[in-house]
Amino acid sequence: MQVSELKQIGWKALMYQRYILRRAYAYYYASWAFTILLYLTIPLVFPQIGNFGLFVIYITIGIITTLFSGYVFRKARRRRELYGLLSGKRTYKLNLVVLIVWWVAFILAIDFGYYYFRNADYLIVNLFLIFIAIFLAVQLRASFPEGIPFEGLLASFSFGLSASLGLLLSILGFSSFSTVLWFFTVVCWFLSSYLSFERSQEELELSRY
Amino acid sequence: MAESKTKSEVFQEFSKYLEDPCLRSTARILILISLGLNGKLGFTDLLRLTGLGKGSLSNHIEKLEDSGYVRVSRRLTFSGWRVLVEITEDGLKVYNSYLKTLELLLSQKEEKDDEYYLFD
Repeated sequence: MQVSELKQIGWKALMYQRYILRRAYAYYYASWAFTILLYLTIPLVFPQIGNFGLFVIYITIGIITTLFSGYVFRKARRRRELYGLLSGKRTYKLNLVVLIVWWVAFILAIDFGYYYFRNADYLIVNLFLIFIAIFLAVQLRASFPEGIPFEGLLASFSFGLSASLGLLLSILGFSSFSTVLWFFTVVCWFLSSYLSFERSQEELELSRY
Repeated sequence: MAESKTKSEVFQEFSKYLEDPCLRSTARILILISLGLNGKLGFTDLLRLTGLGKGSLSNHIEKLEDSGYVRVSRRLTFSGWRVLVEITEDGLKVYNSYLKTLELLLSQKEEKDDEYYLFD
């Protein structure tokens, strides 16, 4: 068996993997859209739940969604590794420990900071969220080194926009309006999920050639 | 701790795997690589990946399972019973050996690929 044949097989697997990854990201967008929606609506629908109760619920939801995100990012990491070897191009490497620490800090900041340090809550949270938006863009770029799909750009842009405007609003003293922004982000992320499912079929067609 | 191996050791290791009659098939190597990337895949996914017919794919999976590179199971999902093919430790060794071989080949960019034959 020639080496060129082995490389060809690797490329075929890689092309098909882009389809699988795009499909996995569809679930990723949907799960986070649903999580953000719950974060926004639970205090409205169940105002009788105290701060501690909300804290526990948020942590639980956040952990479940984060674990699922880890599943998607692991697939992306393996694809990136093979892509780097076959293409000879340097790819981004995200340290898994840094990733986990970051997500844990994020969930704690959102839940703990939001409910126990109300005066600085929006500022801290929005700063964190801007970093999350940047992290997401980097992760998407690393997952799809050939080019980030449109739905990925939509998701990271809408998230970044809401976080940036939310920060501005909190500085100006209008932090309560940021809830509207995050409902907009939820809509964008559900749309990204739908587009990711639909357009993953294109990758399937491409992988056949 | 990963052991550092010489180039020839890495090539020899992968060549040894290619001597296995089970792996003298591009379809089976493709299946193993894809399983290495995902851990496990459904039968439908493997059909789409390989473009083979159901009978032909079943044959290939059976051979891989008999050689201990994959494990087949049936799971109940929302859309009914699904056949799942999962890579085993032995299968992962083949995949990792493939990656190491590619890594070595990358370090030899000036030489042509066709000069290397991993199995005659």
